[in-house]
Amino acid sequence: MSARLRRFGAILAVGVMAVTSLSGCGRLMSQVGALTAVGGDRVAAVGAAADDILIRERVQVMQWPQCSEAKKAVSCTGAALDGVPITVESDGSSPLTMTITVGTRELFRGEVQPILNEAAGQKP
Amino acid sequence: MSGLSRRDFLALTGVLAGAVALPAGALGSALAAPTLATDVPTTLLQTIRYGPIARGTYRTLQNAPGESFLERIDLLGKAPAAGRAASRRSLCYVGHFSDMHIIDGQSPARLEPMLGQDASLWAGAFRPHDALTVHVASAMVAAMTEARRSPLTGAAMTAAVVTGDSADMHSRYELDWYIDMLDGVTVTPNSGAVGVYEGVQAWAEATYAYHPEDPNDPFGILGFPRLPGLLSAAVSQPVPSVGLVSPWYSVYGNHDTLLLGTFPIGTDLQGWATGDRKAALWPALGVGAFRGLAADASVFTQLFNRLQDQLSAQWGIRRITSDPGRRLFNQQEFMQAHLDSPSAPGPVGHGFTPANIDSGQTWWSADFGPFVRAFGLDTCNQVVGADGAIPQDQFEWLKEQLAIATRENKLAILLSHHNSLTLENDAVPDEGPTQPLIHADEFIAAVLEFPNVVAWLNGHTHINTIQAHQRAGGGGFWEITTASCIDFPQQQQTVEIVDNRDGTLSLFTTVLDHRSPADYTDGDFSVVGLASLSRQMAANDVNENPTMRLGSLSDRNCELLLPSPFDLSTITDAQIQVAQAEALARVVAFEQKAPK
Repeated sequence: MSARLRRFGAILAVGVMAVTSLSGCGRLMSQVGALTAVGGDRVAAVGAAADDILIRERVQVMQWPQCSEAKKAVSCTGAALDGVPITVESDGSSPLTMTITVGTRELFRGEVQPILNEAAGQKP
Repeated sequence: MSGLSRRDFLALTGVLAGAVALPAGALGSALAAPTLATDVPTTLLQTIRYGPIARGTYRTLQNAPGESFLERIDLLGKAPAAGRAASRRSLCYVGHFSDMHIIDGQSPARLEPMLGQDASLWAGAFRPHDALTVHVASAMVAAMTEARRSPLTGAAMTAAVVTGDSADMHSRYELDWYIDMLDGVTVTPNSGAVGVYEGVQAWAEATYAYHPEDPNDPFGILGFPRLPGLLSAAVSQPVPSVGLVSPWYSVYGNHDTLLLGTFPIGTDLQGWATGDRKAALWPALGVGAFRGLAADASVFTQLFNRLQDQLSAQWGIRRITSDPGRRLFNQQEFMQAHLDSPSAPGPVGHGFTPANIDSGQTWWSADFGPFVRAFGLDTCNQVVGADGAIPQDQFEWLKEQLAIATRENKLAILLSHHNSLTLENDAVPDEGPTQPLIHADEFIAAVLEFPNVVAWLNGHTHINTIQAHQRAGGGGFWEITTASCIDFPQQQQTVEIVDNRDGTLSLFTTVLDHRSPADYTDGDFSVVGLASLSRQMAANDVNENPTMRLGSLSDRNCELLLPSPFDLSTITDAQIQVAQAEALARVVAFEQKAPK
């Protein structure tokens, strides 16, 4: 399922808050909380684009970046074969951008979507 | 370690050949003949990528070079031994389907008009290729069946799994069509009037939809093709399926549990689903179908009844041919349909047993050959919401079963619909008993207590993704998420567990494109032509982010290494030969019957 239901959830939340302010029912709030989009899209996009950059730049990887999301921001950590840390940071802004750092070297800074499009064979 | 003696080998092949009615020498010859990677059409040899723009922003697709295995050592923590390729032996070879999203596009219970309310919000409610999902399933089953022998080792497929979201909108037709495709039963993907498409893609007022007869709509402006006759061809021609060779197993997805994978199904919606009215515009849907959604006396009742009061007019509804076959299935019917499917390729119930029907327990375990035990989980929330969690009772059952598998020296693989990025649903019912819902972090930590778990196969996000879950002190398990049959790239995969005989295991993941041409030829309404068209439209779906769903090279064809969880030399070559001969007997029997 890929429908983005966040806004719908927000609309419902307004109505439900009116109801629950009277009833104080946490169970209903649990249902409203569940009406969010399928998770994972932003994490997956940043993770895939970062991995493709590491491959393109021929970085020897021991641990491919593992990504997590908090308040739209995505951060990923991994390690090169020589143990040097790999970090990926994205603040979740639109358009989605990221910065990849290997040790102290900034490997990439820029937009995520063009990386994904190019990997899929799209040429401008 | 020695394998079977010649005498034992001949005796085994004789017994197995007799069991599947093969000529005596056929199985022995097949066992002796190695399979080469070049014999198996997978993305190792060739894949599909975007081609030039045809019209507007609409892009064609074209063949692209294959992708070889990328070695991942996240869980090994060191370079693997160079000589392992020469000594490896296959323990289990699994086909992985997920998110097939079979659609009856003429069902009144669909929510397509919501796309007209907000296209970005309701992207999954309608796709331009909604009428072509059975054609894609047929082509995907063909691809999986062509990969019935491993491109790496030649081992025969042990089992196939379907990790949920098989039926898109709860129609009984959708449930039956998905099962039929896997079983090799021909389907004519139509409901209502015979040979006539009655749905939003034929109705001019449904301006949010793609109209292939006259694409004077947002899709046409983008360059989607004009294809007169497409819809009637899609619903009138029978779609054959070659069927799977191996036994296949299934788990629930959120679309198999809730309407649009998100909303509870009320009793009023049942009447709407089988009736003779279908909404073309979203305000009409609010009046009709949402009344059913709101029949559960929850908070939704209050909100949707308010909506109904505000939208009292009946405009935007069309008369269609009613069909009782469009009824919405319930949880028990989902399992019963699997129990009722043909015994071949089996197994009966596809993981579910009569005990599941009796108890209402929607999860199961099964052995995939002698060395691997699979655990089919139900991570879907029964109340509301697309994402999932593990209920406490199922969590406790899993831990007990994993302890047993550990004692029995079985490698374990977990199967679920949701993945670790989407296990955070907290919804509980308005009233009645509840139980804790386990989320991703707790689930992964518990699974890491069992070194025998080597893989977790899942879907849900429609994105090729591979994640390593490390155990403190070394090892861990691989989480492997496959793309879907509905969104681009419309890919599925195989996973092979291989003993490297050096204290390590490798899991080889191989991505499959469905067996249809990369480049669609306008006007080709054959089954493979329509499957090809579906992929091309999915690649151009402006309500999606198609390129993201490919994942990275590190998410597709990979060798995923990890330390062996126990001494695998306890598994003898003779045991492996017997297991592979049993699986290969099915393959050879299939090949003897299949048309050349």
